[in-house]
Amino acid sequence: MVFNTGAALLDAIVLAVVCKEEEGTYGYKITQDVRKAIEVSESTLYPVLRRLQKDGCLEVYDMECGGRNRRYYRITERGTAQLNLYRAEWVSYSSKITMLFSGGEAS
Amino acid sequence: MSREGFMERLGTLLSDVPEEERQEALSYYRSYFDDAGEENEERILRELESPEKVAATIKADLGMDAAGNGGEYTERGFSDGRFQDRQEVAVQTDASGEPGWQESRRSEQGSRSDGYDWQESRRQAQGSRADGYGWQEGGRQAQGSRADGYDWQEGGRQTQGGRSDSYDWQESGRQAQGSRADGYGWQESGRQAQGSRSDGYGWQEGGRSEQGSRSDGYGWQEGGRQAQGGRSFYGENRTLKIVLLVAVLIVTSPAWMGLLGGLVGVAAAAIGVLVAAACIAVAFYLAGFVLFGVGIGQMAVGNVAAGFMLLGVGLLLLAFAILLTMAFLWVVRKGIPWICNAIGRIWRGIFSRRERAA
Repeated sequence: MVFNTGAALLDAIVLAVVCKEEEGTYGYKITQDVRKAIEVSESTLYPVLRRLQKDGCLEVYDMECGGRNRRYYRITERGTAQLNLYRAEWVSYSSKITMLFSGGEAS
Repeated sequence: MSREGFMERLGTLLSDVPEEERQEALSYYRSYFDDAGEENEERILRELESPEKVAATIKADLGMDAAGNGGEYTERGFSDGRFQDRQEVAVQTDASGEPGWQESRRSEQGSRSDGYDWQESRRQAQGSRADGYGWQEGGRQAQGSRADGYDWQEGGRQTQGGRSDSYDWQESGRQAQGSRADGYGWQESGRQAQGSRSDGYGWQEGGRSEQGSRSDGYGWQEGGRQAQGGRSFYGENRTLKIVLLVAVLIVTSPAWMGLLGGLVGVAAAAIGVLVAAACIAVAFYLAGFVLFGVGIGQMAVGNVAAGFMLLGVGLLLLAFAILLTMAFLWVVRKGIPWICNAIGRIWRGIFSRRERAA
């Protein structure tokens, strides 16, 4: 990927991915889902998830799965609010960039 | 390396992070392997590259990268920034969606979007993030020559003027390399001192600082020039002060001349007393010896009582003379050097004060 994925964008993508699963989702699946959109290394997401958890954007819970505990991540209200902010920012940001690239003038 | 070996090594590498964080990370990767399944184990191990890299990523985010101990502070600073950010979001959720959106738009239309600002502060304040970032960049560079081209492009854009994102990106990259702090700090001070430097200059300087000792040399030159300026200013000031001092001395001459005369008088009196004491001592010696001699003579003649009395008085006078001599010698040996020293100290005191005042 040519463009840098900044920390804020990475947070936004992870929040969006977790938000899709109402029942919550787990680390491996999050990584695979994020990788559908951007190139991330397997080790990139753990710190991001941990930070979002500490910031109260994600909550974790353990659920029995196949004889072992699996840690699930679920988006919180705060996380949803943060994601909404990111979405609005992204719409504004990407539309301007798109406009610029297509040769038009930003309104 | 097997999965077990990987986990074991990771556990060892994380032994210096807080136990809670360590357990959290280990359980994440344990279940990561579990969820991926055995068929993906090899691929994940390959993509994770090494336990060292994973541990470094975790530590970087905890603000405990090898770069320094400042990480904790910056980590907190970063956390604060996030907290403020979230506060803002919370306010927006309380309000209806529309004002919230407007709020974000407004901030976005300002000089910097909130999101960007946040990212900025985080990147700048938190060395660990910058490191992580730098590492990411490094990884990409390793993937091919594109990164270099990108880099060049960024440089090109910088020369065109404004401090763009790319500049900061480059800065953070440099920070990851460890050399950034000095160069940047110097650059900042340079810009502050010399006023409105163009960004182009700043970039140029950045480039120079990357070359190593040249930035130091320049910095030194800067310092030298400052010192020179200071000295010339100092000199002007001093001349003025001396002229003023002379004028004041002339105006106040009756007062200080009287004082000086008094001091000379006291000194003369002291010397007079000393001389008098010496004379008295000599007189006592002479009188003592004479009386002693006369006393012995009287005793020899047979006038024993008178002889004893004269002898006794003579010895007393001699004793006084010896005492006076000792006192005189003490004064000469101790008192005069002390007075000289005191005068010297006073003189030096006045002199150095003048120097300081000047």
